[in-house]
Amino acid sequence: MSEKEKELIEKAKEGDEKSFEVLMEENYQRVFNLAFRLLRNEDDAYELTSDTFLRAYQSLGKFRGASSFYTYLYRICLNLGINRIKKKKILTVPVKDKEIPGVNGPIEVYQNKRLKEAIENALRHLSPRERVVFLLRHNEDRTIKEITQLLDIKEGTVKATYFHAIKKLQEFLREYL
Amino acid sequence: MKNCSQEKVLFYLEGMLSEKESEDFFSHLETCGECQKELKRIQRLKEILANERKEIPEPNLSRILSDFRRKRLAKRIKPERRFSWRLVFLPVGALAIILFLFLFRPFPPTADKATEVYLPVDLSYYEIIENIPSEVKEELGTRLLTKSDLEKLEGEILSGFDYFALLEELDKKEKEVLVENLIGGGDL
Repeated sequence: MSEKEKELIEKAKEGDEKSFEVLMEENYQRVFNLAFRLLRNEDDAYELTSDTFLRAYQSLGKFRGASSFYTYLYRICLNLGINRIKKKKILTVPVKDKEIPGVNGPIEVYQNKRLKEAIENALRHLSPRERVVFLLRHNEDRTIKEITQLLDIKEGTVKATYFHAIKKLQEFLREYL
Repeated sequence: MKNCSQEKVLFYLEGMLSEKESEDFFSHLETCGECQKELKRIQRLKEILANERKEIPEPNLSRILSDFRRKRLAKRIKPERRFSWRLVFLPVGALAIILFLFLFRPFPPTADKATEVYLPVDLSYYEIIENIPSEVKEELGTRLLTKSDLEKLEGEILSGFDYFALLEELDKKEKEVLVENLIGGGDL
């Protein structure tokens, strides 16, 4: 953690909102990316991002600086995200259409759209834990060891969860494989 | 076929096997069509999902900040302070130190209290004090009676010598000399 970051955190702990907003500016992009990958919906991702910062601000007194500030935010975002998935069973809104580069013809566009819907459907059928483990491994390129630390679960559980997530995705995307 | 396992195919592809396991599985893979097919299916799945992972919208900082501020104000959220034993021990420790200093404060205390404590309960003594000439009283007033002064007086008075009988015989001037000598430690 940089000296500047430490200083901002100390000031924020004393209730200096400006210092905390500087920390937000430095981390909002990564937190939003994680939130979006978890929830697959832009509005939900915005809400999860602001909730993550709100919780981080409230619990700042407990943050001892053993990890980086982003890791602190990351854990909060993961936990809030998992709770949100469990409570609201979100992931019902498909992501906006965005063309895959190099796909131009009407048939390809149609196939592309169908594939996106199939991916959304497949991801929707993962349990919250499977989704998070898959996300951390597939999107964030986290090692198994990192995932065990982030989620506080055993290595065997992480591996088994990841395997089940892949099997489910394979099952739902069978016609494209 | 004893090495066939969908889990192993995935873990091999992801580099999650140990070096030895990986070597063994590689040897198996070269001869197992089923595991080769499974390997290709997982690779294809990862390709499909890799395209999908690029689609993240650019976040708007203003929206996040205004949302954060609105919620913070609505819920009146402030950083919670972590409980610290220091917050308990510091005032308790300070009180203990003050109490210790008060109870074991160094003597002599103030002269007035010393007078109260050390004056012998004997009217004759007050007579002596009364007869102290104004100059001597002034002297006593500025330095007051220290513990050692009082002890000296007390010691002399209680030493057995009948100063009180003597005092009866002394006139005012002689009494002043007596007190002066007692306080000053001179001989009678």
